Amino acid sequence: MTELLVLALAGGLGAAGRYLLSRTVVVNLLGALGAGCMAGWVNALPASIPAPAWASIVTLGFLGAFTTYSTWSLEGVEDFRQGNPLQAVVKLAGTLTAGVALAGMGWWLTALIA
Amino acid sequence: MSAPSNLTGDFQPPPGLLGNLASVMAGGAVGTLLRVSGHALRPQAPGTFPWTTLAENLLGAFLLGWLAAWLLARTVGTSSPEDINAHRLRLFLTTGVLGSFTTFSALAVEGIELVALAPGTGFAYLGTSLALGPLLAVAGLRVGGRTP
Repeated sequence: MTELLVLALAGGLGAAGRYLLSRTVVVNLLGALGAGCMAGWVNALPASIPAPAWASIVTLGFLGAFTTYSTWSLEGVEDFRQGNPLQAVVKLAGTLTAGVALAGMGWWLTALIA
Repeated sequence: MSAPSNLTGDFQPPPGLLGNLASVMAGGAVGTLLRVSGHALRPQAPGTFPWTTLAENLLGAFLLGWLAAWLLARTVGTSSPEDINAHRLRLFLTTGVLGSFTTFSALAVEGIELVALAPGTGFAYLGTSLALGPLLAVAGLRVGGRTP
């Protein structure tokens, strides 16, 4: 119960951070890098050590809410509707490709350090 | 000499950033709990196709398109200015609930994990997410934009 409340609070903070930055591409790329770092770090933990609770608070709560797929989709569609199909494709495919690459980079970096 | 705009009934941007932030935070908390509940109901095994994340993301994209069109149809062309409560309800639902219900960070991490473990499944997941999200947002816009 307490963990759910903390998770909800972390999600609220993530959403507030996204609202304040109000740049969907930037929050999504930052969040992808952060989530990659978290996943790499948790993965590098010895099997005997369970992942701490705060790891899922950060990953599922804060970063999950900080980043957004629905707004990313809708913003791409808006570019199409305003007659910028190239910008839409670059934004959608480019952000996803860069996000996956950054998640991989974060994973690799923390695995290297951990 | 221009009349003070607060007496003319012109649209006033919401003055309170803190109130806006509170609306977004409350929505973010709700959206996060809904997203996590989905994963509790349909857990995803690592290395398998992330059906739960995909379903939540696609549902959220459709609902955001629907809501955006629905709200647009009701605020544009009317003479009444959008009041601060309507603005905050909009922030709560769109930026807050739906923005946080869907996630890009999990998509990116699941994508790179799958591409490394099972490239075919990984690229299928990324391709599906890339193609269907905008498509469902369009579907939502179409449905929500229908005038009753």
